Amino acid sequence: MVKINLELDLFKDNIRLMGTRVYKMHEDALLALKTADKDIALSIIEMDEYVNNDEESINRRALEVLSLLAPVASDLRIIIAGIKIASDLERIGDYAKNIARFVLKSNPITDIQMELIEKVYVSFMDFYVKTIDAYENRQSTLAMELPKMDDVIDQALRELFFNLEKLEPNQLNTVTIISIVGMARNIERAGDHTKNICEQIIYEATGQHYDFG
Amino acid sequence: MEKAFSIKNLDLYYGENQALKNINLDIMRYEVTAFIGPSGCGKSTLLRCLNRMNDLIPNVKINGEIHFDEMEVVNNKIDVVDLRTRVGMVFQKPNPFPMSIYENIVYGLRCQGIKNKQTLDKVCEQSLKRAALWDEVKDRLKDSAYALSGGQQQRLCIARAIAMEPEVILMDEPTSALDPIATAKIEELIQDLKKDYTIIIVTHSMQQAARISDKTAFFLMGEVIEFDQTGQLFHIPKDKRTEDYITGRFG
Repeated sequence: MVKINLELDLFKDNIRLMGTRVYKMHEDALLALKTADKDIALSIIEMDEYVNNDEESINRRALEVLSLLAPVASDLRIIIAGIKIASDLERIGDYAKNIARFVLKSNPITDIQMELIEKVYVSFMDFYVKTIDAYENRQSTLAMELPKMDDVIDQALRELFFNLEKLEPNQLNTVTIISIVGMARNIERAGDHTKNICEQIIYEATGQHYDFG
Repeated sequence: MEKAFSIKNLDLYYGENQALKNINLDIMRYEVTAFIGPSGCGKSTLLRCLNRMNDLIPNVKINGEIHFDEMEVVNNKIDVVDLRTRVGMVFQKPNPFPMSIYENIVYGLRCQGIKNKQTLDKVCEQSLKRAALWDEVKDRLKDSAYALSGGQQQRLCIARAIAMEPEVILMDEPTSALDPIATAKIEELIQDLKKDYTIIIVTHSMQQAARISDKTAFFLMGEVIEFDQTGQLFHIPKDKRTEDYITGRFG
C-alpha cells in the first residue's frame, strides 16, 4: 500500500475517534442533565482535555503528512478538511463541557422544561451522528442534505423559549432560566459547528466550498 | 490574453509508432506552462515540435497545425533558423559551448554577423544580468564556460537563449541535473523571466510544476489528459488519471 494511503487512513480514523469521543460527551451531558448527576458532569469536564489533545495530535499528524508526503488533490483536501473538522469537533466538545458546568451549578429543572430541552438536545445529536457517519463514509451528497436537520433544532428551540415566555412571575427562578437559555444556546452552537463539518465533507469529496450559514 | 502557440489536431509518428495523439492546446503569452507526465508520454516530443527540433530525427511524420503568430510551424516551409531565434531552448543537461563565457553569450549574434564590440558587450552584460548570473561572472568573462558550476552553466544557457531576444523559451527538464539550491535559483529566474517571455517547461518534478507554472498540461501515452490552471489541476483535478498520477497512485 502506498505510504500516503496508510497515513490518510490513520488520519481519518483519528478524526472519527475524536468524533465518537465528542458524541460520548454529549450523550453523558444529556444523562447528567436528566439525572442531575454531578459526577457525570465532572467526568465530562475531564473528557474535554482528551478531546483537546485529540485535536492537537490530529494537527500534528496533518503537519507531518504535509511536510513529508506533500499531498495534492484529494489527498490534500482530506488533510485540509480534517484540520477544520477537528477544530469544529473541539468546539462541539466545549459545548458539552459548558452544559456539564450548568449541571454542576444549577438547581434541577421542571419536567416539562427537561422534556423541551431534551427535544432540542436529541435533535442535535441525531444531526451530529449522521454527520460523523457521512464523514466516515465520504457521503458528500448526504452532507448536502444534512444541514436541513438544523431546522429541527431551531424548531425545538422555539418551543422551549415559548414555554419560558409563558411562565408566571412566581414560577420564575432567574438562575434556572439563565441556565436553560445558556444550555439551549450551547446546543444551538454545536449544531452550527456540525453544519461546518458538512461543508468540509463536501469540500473533501469535491473541492467545492459550500456555506450553510 | 494573447496566444503564443495554438496547437490544433496534432498527431506525430516515429515510424509506425504514434507518439502524439490529437493534441489541442493554446499556450498563452507571458505565462509559464508546464508539461508533466510519465516518461515516454510525449511531453518532450511536443516541446520539440514547437521549434521544429524534431526535424533532426529521421522517420518523423507530423499531421495537424501549430500556429505561432502568423507562422504555421508544422507544414510550411518556414525559415527554421528564424523560428528558433524566436523560440529559444534550454536542455536538461547544461550544454555550454567549449569557449569562454562571453563567447557563449554572443555566439548567436556573431552568427547573425554582428561584429560591433560595444553591441556585443552590451548584450552580454544584459543577458547575464537577466539570467541572474552577471554578479557571479562579471570578472571572469574570458574564462571557459566549463569552469562554471552546473547551476551556473544552466543559467549561462538561459542567458545565451535570452541574448537572441526570443519570444518563447522552451525548457526541457532544465533543473533535473541540478542541486536544490541551483534549482531554486532557476525557478526564481523563471518567475522573473515570464514578465517578458513565454516559458514552456517539461518537468518530472510535479512540485516544480506546481511551484512555478500558471498552467499545467498532463500527458499520458501521447495524449493531453488534462490542461488547466495549475492551482486547479493540483487541487481539484477533473480526470481520475490526473488524480492518480499527481497523487502517486499511478500504475
